[in-house]
Amino acid sequence: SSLFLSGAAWARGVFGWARPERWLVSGGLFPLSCIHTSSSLQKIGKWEKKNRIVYPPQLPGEPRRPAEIYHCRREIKYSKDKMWYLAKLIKGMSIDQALAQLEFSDKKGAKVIKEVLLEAQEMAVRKHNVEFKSNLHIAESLTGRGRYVKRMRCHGKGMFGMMKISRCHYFVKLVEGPPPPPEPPRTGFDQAKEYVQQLRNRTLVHTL
Amino acid sequence: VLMLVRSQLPRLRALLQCYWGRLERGLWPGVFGGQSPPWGPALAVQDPAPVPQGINDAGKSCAEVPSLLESIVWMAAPKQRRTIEVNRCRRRHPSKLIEMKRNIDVCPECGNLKQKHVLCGYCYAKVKEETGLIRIEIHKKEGGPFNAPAVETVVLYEGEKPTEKDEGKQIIERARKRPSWFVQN
Repeated sequence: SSLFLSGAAWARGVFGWARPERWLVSGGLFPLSCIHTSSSLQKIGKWEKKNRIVYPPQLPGEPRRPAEIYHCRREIKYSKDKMWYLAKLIKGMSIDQALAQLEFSDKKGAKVIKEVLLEAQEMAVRKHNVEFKSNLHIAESLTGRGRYVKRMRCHGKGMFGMMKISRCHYFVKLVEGPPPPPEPPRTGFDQAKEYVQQLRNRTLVHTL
Repeated sequence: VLMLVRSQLPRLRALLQCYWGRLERGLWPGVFGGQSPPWGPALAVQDPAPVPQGINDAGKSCAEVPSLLESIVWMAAPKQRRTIEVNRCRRRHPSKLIEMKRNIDVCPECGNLKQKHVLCGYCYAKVKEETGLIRIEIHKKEGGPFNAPAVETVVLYEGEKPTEKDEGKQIIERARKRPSWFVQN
């Protein structure tokens, strides 16, 4: 029919869900079969796009760049503040240690984060050329606010309050290699040294 | 945020109380054509206190009651909004963070993780499943509730015969190889 003879862009607007360019691939009329229609995939978040960067091959003398794997889960039915405590717990741990801690945590978000970590580990081994699945550590783990929905909560005597049903996102970045050693706590001596250094860095301005 | 559906009754009540008080004290003689206190009971002793004293007090109280100083009990309420810095200090205090658990070990039987003072979850699930099947066999043998014999039960797997020790005991047969963790006596 005449509807499908116009360009793929027009068809995308009218029949975004039907993807007519897929149907005519065999006929060879529309070679652009890899166009994605925006309605089916929604917006791809920034964290998901971080996996797409490809570095140029490293020169022989350069230090080895460790593999980085970005993974996230969106719209988890949990509070972002409560999820943050779990994210803070596993920051900087090796992946095995993090999985052990999450397995025996009683929080609802612990199960979700464990699934995300296992998914990310599998992704690392399959697609990101990681040799040992235990040789990963958690470089960053963050939570974000998802879409909130306002609902009415009925109290007694005809009173009502508005409550918000909160969701959150969880982001994790795995890096190949053993976890970095923890920073030694700042002592008074370090603070004094820094203060003296600040005093020594002062210079005279607007003078000869 | 709780929304009050009703109107502001306390204010109205306070106002009515004020005007009723003034009427009772005879400060509106013009209301009933000049009759001095008609409200008190006839046999009661008239209050010797002069009326002008009442006027001063009532004048002050009538001005104050609409401001609700007497009818409200003071409740605690925050004076200032807590800044995000203060909120962060409270929410991220080390006592509020989740502590790392140091009592996690590896189960020597199956290799899964387990807490030191708790049975291994995987091994327990295995045992639970097998005991469930044994219970089904027992139910089949008994046929109904309240038929449990008053003797011990012995579970025998494939290729096992009851010994002399198992003379009077109830024998349950399971059609599989004996699991390694179920030691035979």
